[in-house]
Amino acid sequence: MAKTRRQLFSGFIEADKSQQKLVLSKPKPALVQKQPAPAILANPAPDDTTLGAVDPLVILLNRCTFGFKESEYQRALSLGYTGWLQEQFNYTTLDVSVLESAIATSLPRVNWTAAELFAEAKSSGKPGLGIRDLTAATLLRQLYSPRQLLEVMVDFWSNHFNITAASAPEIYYKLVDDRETVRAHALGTFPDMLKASARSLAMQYYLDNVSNTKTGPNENYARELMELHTLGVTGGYSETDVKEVARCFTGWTVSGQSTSTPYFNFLANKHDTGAKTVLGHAIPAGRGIEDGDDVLNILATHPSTAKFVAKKLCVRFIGDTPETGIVDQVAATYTATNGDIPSMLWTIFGSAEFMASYDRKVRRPSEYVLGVLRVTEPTLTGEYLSKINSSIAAMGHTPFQWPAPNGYPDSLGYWINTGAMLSRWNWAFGLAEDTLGSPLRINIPVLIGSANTPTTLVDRLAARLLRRSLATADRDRFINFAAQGGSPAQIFTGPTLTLRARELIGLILCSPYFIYR
Amino acid sequence: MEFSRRHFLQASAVCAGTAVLAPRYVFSSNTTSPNDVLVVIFLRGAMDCLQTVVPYADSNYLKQRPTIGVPAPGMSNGVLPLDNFFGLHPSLAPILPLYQAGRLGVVHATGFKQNQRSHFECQRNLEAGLQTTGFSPGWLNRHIGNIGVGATFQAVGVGTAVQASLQGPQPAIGMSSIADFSFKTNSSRKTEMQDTLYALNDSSAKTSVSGRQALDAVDYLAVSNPAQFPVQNNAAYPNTTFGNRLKETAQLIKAGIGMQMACVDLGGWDHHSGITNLMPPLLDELSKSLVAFHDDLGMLMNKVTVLTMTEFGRRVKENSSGGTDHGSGSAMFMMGGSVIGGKVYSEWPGLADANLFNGDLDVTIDYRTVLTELLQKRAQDSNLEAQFPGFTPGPWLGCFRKENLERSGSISPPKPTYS
Repeated sequence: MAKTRRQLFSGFIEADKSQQKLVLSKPKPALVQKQPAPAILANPAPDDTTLGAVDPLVILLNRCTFGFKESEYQRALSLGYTGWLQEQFNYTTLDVSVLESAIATSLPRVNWTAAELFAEAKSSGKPGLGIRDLTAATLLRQLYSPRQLLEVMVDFWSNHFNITAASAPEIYYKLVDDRETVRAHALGTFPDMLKASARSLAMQYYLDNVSNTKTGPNENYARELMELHTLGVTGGYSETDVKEVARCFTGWTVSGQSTSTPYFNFLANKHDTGAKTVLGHAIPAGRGIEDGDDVLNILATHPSTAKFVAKKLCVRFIGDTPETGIVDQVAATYTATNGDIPSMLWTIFGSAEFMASYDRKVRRPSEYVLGVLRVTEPTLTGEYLSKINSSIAAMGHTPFQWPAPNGYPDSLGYWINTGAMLSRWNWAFGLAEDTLGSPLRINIPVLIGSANTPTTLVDRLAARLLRRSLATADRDRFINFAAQGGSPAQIFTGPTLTLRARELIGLILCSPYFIYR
Repeated sequence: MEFSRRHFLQASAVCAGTAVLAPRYVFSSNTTSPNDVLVVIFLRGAMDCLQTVVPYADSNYLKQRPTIGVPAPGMSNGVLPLDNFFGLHPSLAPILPLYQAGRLGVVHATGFKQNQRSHFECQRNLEAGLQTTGFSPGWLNRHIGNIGVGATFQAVGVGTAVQASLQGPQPAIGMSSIADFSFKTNSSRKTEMQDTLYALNDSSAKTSVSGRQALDAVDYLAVSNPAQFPVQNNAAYPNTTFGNRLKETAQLIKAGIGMQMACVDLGGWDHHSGITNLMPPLLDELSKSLVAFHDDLGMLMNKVTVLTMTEFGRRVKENSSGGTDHGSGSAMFMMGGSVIGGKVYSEWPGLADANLFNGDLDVTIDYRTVLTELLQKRAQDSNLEAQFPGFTPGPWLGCFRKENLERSGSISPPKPTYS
C-alpha cells in the first residue's frame, strides 16, 4: 500500500504540471524514500530503523488539516496529492453552506458590520459577546469545514497579524478583521492582507495607531509592523526607522464612533507633513495618507519581508528550524509572485524538505484537542463546544487570546513540558474512556472494525488513527499491553473488547506518534 | 536500553525500604536545604517603572510626563513616598507596609542596557542573561547546572508554558495548576498504562523527556498533596490567574518537595495608551498578590526571595495617546526575609533630556549584578562565570543578607509616613 502511494506520488509534479498554474519554480524531484534526516532537527525523527518513512500524502493531510477523518482520507487517496491540494486551494467548490448557515443562525455576530458590533457593545455593556461567537465559529470551522487548508491558513495569518481580543473596542472589531483582513486574503496575496490590516479598525486600536498624531507620535504600530508583520526583528530597520514610520502613519485613525458609524479615516490635520526617510527611501514633505501607503509598499516589496514570511511559513509546515535552502526558495517565490500565498505554499508542498518532514512539528494544544476529535469522529452533542473550548483554554491556546502582538508561538520548545503532556494525555484518555461526559462519545465498533485480538486491534487502530506504521518495538508494547500476559491472538468479546479498545485508543493518541502532526 | 519505569520504581522501593516513590525523592527534603526558594515574577509587556516607583523629586519627571505623571506626594492620588526622592504609585499602597517593615526593597534604573526595543528580543535576552540571537539557556537553568540537579520539583515554571528563564538542558517542571498535574484514567490498569507510555517515550526528544518526567512526577505530587495546605494568616489572594498561581506556588513551598525556584508571569504591561486607566488595576492585582503571598508563608518567607523583572522600561516622554513607548531602564521589586528592604537602591541617572539613553531612562545598575548577589548569598551558587558568561558584575548593592532571619516574617501594621 505505502509503496503504491509513493509510486503514485513520485510522478505527480510532472503529470499534473499543466494544471498547476500556481507552480512557478519547478520543484525538486520528490525524494520520498530514504530521505536522510536533516541534521538540524529541533526534535529528531525517531532513529528506530524499523520505522518506515511516512507517506507524503499523510504528512500533507496532517499539516494542512486539523486532523483528518476517514472519509477525508479516502477522498484524498482518490484525488492524489496534487489533486487534493488543488481542491483545497480552489476552496469555493467545497460546500460549507450547512456549516455556515448553522453559524449564521446561532453565532450571528460573525457576520455583523463594525457599526452593528459597536452598537450592541454600547447598548448592552457587554463588549465580549462578539468574540464568544467568533471563537465558537472558529472552532466549528476548524472541526467541520471541508476547507481545511483555508482554516489552517486563517489560523496562521490571524496569529501573524495578531490582535488580542481582550478589551474594547478591538474585542469586537476583531470580528470584522477576521472576515475582511484574514479570511479575505488568507489564500490571496500577502501585500493585500498587509494593506487591509493597516486599515483594520481592530488593528488601529490594538496597536494604538488610532491615537498616533503629529504632536506625540505613538510608535506601537510602526514598530510591530516592521518587527512582526513584515521585515522581522533582524530585517534591517533602525530605531530611527521606527520613529519615522510612526510619523508616516500619524493621522491614520478610526472616526465615527460618536455617531455609531465607525470607519477607518485619515485626519490630515493630525498628520505630520514633514519630510521623512524610511529604510533609505525619501518620503517627501507636504503629503497625506500616501506616506503610510508608501511605507506599506516599501515593506511589502522588501527582501527581508519575503524572507521573514517565507521562514514563518516553513516553520509552520516543515519544522521549527527549517533548512535555509527551502526558506530561500519560498522567499524567491514571494518575490517572483508579489507575495502570492498559494504559490509560496506550492513551493513548500513540492519540496523534498516537506516530504521528509514527518515528526518535525508538534501539535499545539488546539491542534491536539481537535486532532483527537477529527480522527476519532465522536458523536458531538449538547455542550460539546464548551468542553472543547475549556480544554483548549486550560492548555493556554484559546483563539484570539495570545496576550502579545506576535501571536501564539509555533515551536515545540514553547509548548512542550511536563504539565502540557499530562493535559494532552488526560484529554485523549478522557475521550477514549468516555469520561468527558455525554457531549463527546466515540463509536468503538466503527473505530475497531472487525479487529478483536491484541494484534489486530493494534494494527487496525494504528492504521486508522495514525495512518502510518509503527516501529516494531512500539507495536510490541501496544500488543503486550493489550494481551495482558496472555496470547496476542486471544479473542476479546463484549465489554472486554470495548475496554481493551478504549485503553489502546487512549495509549495510541498519547504516544509520540500522535503528539506530532 | 529501554526505560522501564516500573522496574525502576520497584528497585527503588526495595533499596529505600519505603513506599513506592522514585529514589531521588526518598532522600530529598526541603527542610534542610541551605537555599532560598527563588520566586521570579516576570511582568511581561514592559512595566513603566517611572509610574510605579516614581522619582517624584526629580524636577524633570512631571515636565516629561505632564498628563500621565503621578502627582506629587500629598496631592490627590499622589505618590506614596518611600524616601525623599522615590515614591510608590498609589495603587501599590498594599506593599508599602512591607517596605516600611524592611521586607521589600526596590532597585531602580536597572535592567539590561542594549539598543534593542523589541519585547520578544528583550525578554529573551533578559531571561538568558546574555545578548543572544537564538536560543540560549535561561539564567535559572544555568543556575541549576551550577548547583546540581535536585528534586524533581526543584524548578517549576508555573503556567501553561515553562518560562525561558528556566528553559535549557537542565530539567524543569511545567505546571499550570496543581489539580491538573495528574494522570487521569479510570482504568484498573493505570500503572500498566503509565509503564507503557513510559516505554513508548524512550527517545531523547523533548516530548519524550517531558513525558517520562511527568510520569515520574505525578505519583510523587499526589503523595505530597500540596493542595492540602490551606492559605494561612488570613492572606487574601486576588481571585485571578496570577493570584491563584502565587497561591499554588506557596502550597508547593509548604509541601516541602524540594522546590528551589519558581517562575510566574503577570502580563498586560504594554501601555502605549491610556496608562492612567489601565495600570491601576494591574498594580492592585500585583501588590495584593505579593502581600498575600508574604502573609500566607509567614515564617517560611525568611527562606523565600521574590523578585520581579520586566523586559525594559518605557520612554521617559509620554506620547500623544496618554501612554509611553518602548524604553530602557526599569525597576525590580525584591521581597522576603533575605532582602535588606526599606530602601530604593539606585544610582539615579536623571530625567533631563541630556541624561537619557536614546530618550529612555538609562541603566546604571545591570540587573545581573543584583542576580549574582542573590545567587551567591541565597542559593549556594558562586560560579559567577557560569551564571552569566562574559558578564562582570558591578559592586554588589548589599541588598540581600547572607545569614537567615530567625524572627517572624510577620510585619507590623502600616504606619503613616506622610501627612
